Amino acid sequence: MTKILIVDDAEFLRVRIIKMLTGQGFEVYEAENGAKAVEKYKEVRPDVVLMDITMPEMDGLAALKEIRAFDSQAKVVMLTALGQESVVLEAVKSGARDFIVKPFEHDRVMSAIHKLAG
Amino acid sequence: MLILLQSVWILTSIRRVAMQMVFDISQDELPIFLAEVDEHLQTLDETLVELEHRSDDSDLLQNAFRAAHTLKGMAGMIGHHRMTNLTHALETAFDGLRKAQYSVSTALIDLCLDAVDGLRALREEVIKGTLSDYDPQPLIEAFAEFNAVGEHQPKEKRVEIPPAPAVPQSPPTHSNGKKEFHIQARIDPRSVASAARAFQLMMALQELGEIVSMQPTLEEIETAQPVQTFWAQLITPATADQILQKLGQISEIEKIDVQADGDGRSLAAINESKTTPPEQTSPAEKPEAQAQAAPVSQPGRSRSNGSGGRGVEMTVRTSVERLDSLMNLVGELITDRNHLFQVRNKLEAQAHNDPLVENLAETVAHISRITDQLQEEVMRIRMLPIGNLLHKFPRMVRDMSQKAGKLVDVVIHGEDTELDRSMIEEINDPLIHLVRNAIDHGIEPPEERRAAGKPERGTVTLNAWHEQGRIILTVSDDGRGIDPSVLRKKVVQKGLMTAEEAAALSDEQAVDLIFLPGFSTAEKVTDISGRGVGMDIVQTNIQRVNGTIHIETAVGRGTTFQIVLPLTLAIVPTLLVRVGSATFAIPLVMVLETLRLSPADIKTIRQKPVTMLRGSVLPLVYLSELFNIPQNGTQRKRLFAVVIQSGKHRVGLVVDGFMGEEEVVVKSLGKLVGEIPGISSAAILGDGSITLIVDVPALLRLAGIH
Repeated sequence: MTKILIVDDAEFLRVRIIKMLTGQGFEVYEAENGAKAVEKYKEVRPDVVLMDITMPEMDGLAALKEIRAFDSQAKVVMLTALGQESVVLEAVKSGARDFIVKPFEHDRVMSAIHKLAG
Repeated sequence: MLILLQSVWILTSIRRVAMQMVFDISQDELPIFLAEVDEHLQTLDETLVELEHRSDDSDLLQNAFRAAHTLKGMAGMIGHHRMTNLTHALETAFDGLRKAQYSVSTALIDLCLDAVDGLRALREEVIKGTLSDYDPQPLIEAFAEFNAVGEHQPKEKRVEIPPAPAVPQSPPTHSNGKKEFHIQARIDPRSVASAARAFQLMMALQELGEIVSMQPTLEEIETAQPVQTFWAQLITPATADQILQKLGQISEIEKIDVQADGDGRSLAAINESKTTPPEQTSPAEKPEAQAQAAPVSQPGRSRSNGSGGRGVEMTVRTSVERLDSLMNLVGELITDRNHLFQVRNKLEAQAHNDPLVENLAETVAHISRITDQLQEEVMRIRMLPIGNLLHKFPRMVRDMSQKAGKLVDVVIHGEDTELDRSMIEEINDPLIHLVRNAIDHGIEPPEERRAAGKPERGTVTLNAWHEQGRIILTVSDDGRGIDPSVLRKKVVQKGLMTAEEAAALSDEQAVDLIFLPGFSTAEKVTDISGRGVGMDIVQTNIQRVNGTIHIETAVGRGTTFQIVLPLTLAIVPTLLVRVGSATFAIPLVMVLETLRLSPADIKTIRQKPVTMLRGSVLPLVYLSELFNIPQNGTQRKRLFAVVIQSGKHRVGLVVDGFMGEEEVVVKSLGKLVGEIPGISSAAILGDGSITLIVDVPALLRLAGIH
């Protein structure tokens, strides 16, 4: 079963994505900051990571780099918002496979996951 | 009953429908959303007030930015557009500060705080599920003015991409099976980071072969300016289809053209994009998407929906009601444990050395330990750090001091101190009132402080700590202090006391006058300290939760209010006393010591009974008289007194005997019994009998001591 790790400091967003993804039969794990995301990644080895950029403790960019250093094949999709063009570019350069803008639509998330998990 | 239930159900479903029409949020998501929004607004309040003093603190700024950013994301997810716009304006302002486009000013902080208030109003809409007439537009425009001043150049500058160069006149020939392709891709203009998409296109092509030339260039991409069209010349062993497939993996690409070797043959693929509604997904993508979506959405495989699929959670969410009922059950258990003790004691007296009784005694002892632990654990679950309450004060103090024309800083210590959540709710209003008083009456205006040789800025300090199973909370200011002579004059002016009575008051007693109902020291009623609702309400509220309040003050130096609170409201350690045939429970928090008295120890001063305790006069109050309990035998050889302290009053309560200490579970007297003066509530004792818990401050009022 496809494992997804959702990383966001906003619980509301995690809850919403978890609901969306478990409804589609995915196995979903969550982390509330970058540091925990790295830990969780090593533990469960998810197929796809959906990760917020702006977070306390360790931000998404730093976590992306750590995850990619641990697993160069890691498929990480950044969750972003308007006004973060250069951070997103930096994330893509650091190996993010895709990015999704909040507020995101169901189909956009699904298509990103299918592209990477397929 | 059924009809009632049905109509409730209908009402809630109507509400749900209404809610869904306004915002995209379900009932189960609502509490999480609201709590989280609240948390971020609180962070904004705190950091903004801090930022005014520490404008160079980049961590603070980062926190504020993150809070605004997260709020924006959340508002967007439920489709609250005005909230999204306002948070966006706020976020942009923080970003401007981060980039030093402008600096922190009171005007900007004011604007940001107004925005936070606006967000609170918009949060209300989510609670009610209806739109209000709050319009954030004026604030958003005010933010725009700030940004206009700060911005050096317009942000929306697009890199002009020259049209793709024509196909080279003499296509280079490639041996070893490699071919040359010209690839052109159009990026969805709505992509927030189209340069990043261009970068992805470039990386994908590099994996396939060698990029001979590219538009925009890597340098141009790295400016992160928007890119609409990407063009590249690629030498690769791959086929056109392989190129298409590879680039098709990238999101937000509207159109891809792959031309091989200038033979004019064009292969086009339209990628998925936000422009394309899901039903109209291009045929190229559809089979793939379906092939992947189908197996996972099979009902048989979605076994892990809900708990199974989610990662192991380290926390659970539960309702306050459930905690309350858990606490109640533990309370019942404690009552039973106390009962078991008594049964065991009786059995032990009856059947000495009976192994069965010993066995029982051991088990009872064990149950007792476990019950204690259980109570402690449950209480711990109900504990919240007082920081939840204290953190709102910096913002509040800023607003209040601005209104009062004073300069006030707040210092908070011990925000990690934990206390029962019901207690936190109970002390909220008293604390606000004390802080208001400190600003309104305590701290002097800047000129007055300067003249007195004090720093212009006053300080209000909030402090909380644990001490011997109690919580101590202090509210201090370094203001003008409370002048007892002013209070003496005031109380006479108000006709609450005669001049002689007032003159007879010690300084401490005079200061305590502020707790008198209807006594207010403010020269004029202000917006801040309110009218009439004064310190007497504060004291009553604190005493209602078995707490006490004291004042320490020094004229010209400042005032400290000290509040002492028990850890919880549900279970009270008490001293059980006997009066006639009745039993009363006195909260231990009020008890200073117990005394034995012989009739000779009791003297009379001004027709009132007193006794001497270590050289000072201790007024005595007979519980039997207060509660009209008949006494058998008029002359008792031995009496007992419980020395209690309420505020500054120290009194001996005369009783017939002590029955030991017991933790009792508080039970409300209920509507049938109603309020009994001097009694706060009831409790069931271990032996099944009922006792009344004494409300000490009310008792003293009843006895005419105040």
